[in-house]
Amino acid sequence: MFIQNELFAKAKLFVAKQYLLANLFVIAATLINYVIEPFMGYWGLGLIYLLALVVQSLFTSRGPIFLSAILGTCLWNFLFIPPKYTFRIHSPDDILLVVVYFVVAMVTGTLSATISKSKVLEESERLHKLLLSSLSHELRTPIAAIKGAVSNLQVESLIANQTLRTQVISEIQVANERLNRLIENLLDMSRLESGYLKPRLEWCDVADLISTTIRQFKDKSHLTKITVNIDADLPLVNIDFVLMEQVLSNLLHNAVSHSPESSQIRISCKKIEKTIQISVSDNGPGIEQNILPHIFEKFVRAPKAASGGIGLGLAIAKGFVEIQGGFIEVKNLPQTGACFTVKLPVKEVPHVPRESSQ
Amino acid sequence: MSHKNKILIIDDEPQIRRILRMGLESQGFFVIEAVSGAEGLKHASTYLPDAVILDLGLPDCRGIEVLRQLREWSEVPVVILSVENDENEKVEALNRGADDYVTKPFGMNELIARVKVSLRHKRTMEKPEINYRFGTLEINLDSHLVWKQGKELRLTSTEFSLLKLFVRHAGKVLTHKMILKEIWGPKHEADTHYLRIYIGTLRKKIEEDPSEPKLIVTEPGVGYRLKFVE
Repeated sequence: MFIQNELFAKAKLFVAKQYLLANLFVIAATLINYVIEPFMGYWGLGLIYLLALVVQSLFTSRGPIFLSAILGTCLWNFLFIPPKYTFRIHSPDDILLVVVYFVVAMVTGTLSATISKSKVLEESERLHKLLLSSLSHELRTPIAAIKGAVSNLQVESLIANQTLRTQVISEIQVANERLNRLIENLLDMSRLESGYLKPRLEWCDVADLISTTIRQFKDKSHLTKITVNIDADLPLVNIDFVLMEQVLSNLLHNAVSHSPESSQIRISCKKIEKTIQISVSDNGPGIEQNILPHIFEKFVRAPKAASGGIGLGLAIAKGFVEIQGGFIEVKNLPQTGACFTVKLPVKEVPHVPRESSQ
Repeated sequence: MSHKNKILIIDDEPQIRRILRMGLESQGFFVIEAVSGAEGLKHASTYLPDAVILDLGLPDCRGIEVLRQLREWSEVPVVILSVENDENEKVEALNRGADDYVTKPFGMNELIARVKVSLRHKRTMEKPEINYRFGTLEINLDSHLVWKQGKELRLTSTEFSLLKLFVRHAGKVLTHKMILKEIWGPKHEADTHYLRIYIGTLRKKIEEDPSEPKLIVTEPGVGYRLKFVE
């Protein structure tokens, strides 16, 4: 499942950094040893290397620890164990010392790697449980609504009443919409994470993109006002129309569900330097400061969010924007509300032959 | 009794077939069902339906294949049922002669409207007209004249060819490839930027509000459609 993959991906991301850290620890220990060498025998210096390694094992996994164990052993032997500046060791005691140091280092490395791996698994298990419980809640609610509405429709007196009947039917439609949206999001997320999603980049008209998204949106939501402000004569952008439509629709959906009824949502689009910037802003309560840096992560939702959704919409938006070479950011507006901005690079549009009017 | 239009449904899902039958019969259509591509092709040749509703995801063969075999001998209007997020498949089906598509999950009204448009289109193909009217837009294909709210419009020759193509296929979706091939020739099939620019200028001239097009609407990832306005 994808959560686990993500955790491992995160861990992997840091591998390069971990090796760097390992080298830094060994260098630091060597420098310290240089300074304290006049006051201490080379046995003590070995302990300094060991200390550095143990501390390092708190931060890194097995590979980097092995690296610093080997580096530490070599440096210690070369620089400090007599005869100095050779890899030879005279005394059998010293050989034993170096072997013991090396074994202790390796064992430490293995243990710390096991511990950190089990931490990752624990965390992923926790996320799994969280996901399953919120998913089953999200799936069951609309199903329960549909079931309830259908059994209402079996009541003769209710069918006879035009108002009640319309109301029940619209309940079914709302529940249906919600189920559909959830499934769509789950499918989008797994498409995105499978790595098979290849954007179909084409030259698109941003104004057309925005009007198409809003058109499909208007059928679904009629409570919110959407105002659009698009600069004239924007150049075409090289994007995947369908994916970008999904991005805008997710941002709009997010804006609608987080702002009070019949409030205004503003979409604007302008060219700033070498980017086309599409922003969607609402006048809801904005995003809490502690959530703000994590808002594009999966399953992250505002604590006071209206019901519906499991926190995938914005993660999908970010993923879709990024595979098209764009960039997405969010900020809270000074008064109230949040503003999401999608930045798309402007490239040179191939020449189109023009003609004059007849 | 008036002649009932026969609609052939090719879909393997019994529930979808039941719902389609209910909806179509309530609109006065006569419904024939097929559960597989093979049965669909057989029914198509036996009953000669007026329109076909074809699911692209059939168990025995790909819907595209059924479409290909059907098109070898029949010009019957075909409306495709396809799943979300598969624009490539929709585009392929349209390029191979499907008349229209609806995306699952679809609304019954939408599907019936598409079936009716394809049936109407079948008739207009038989009896070509010269004068067309779409809302406040009037078009005379013969004299190359176009009026918006009674005022004559000045279109470039490419814009007019584009509009003419849409008018000839009013209500039907046209893929990017179809339009590019028809207007700019087979060499330009992939030059979607031509299309974006010219659709933009054409909309500026013919739409009441170009920022909210009502006549030429975008079908995301697929193409454009000239909406039938009575």
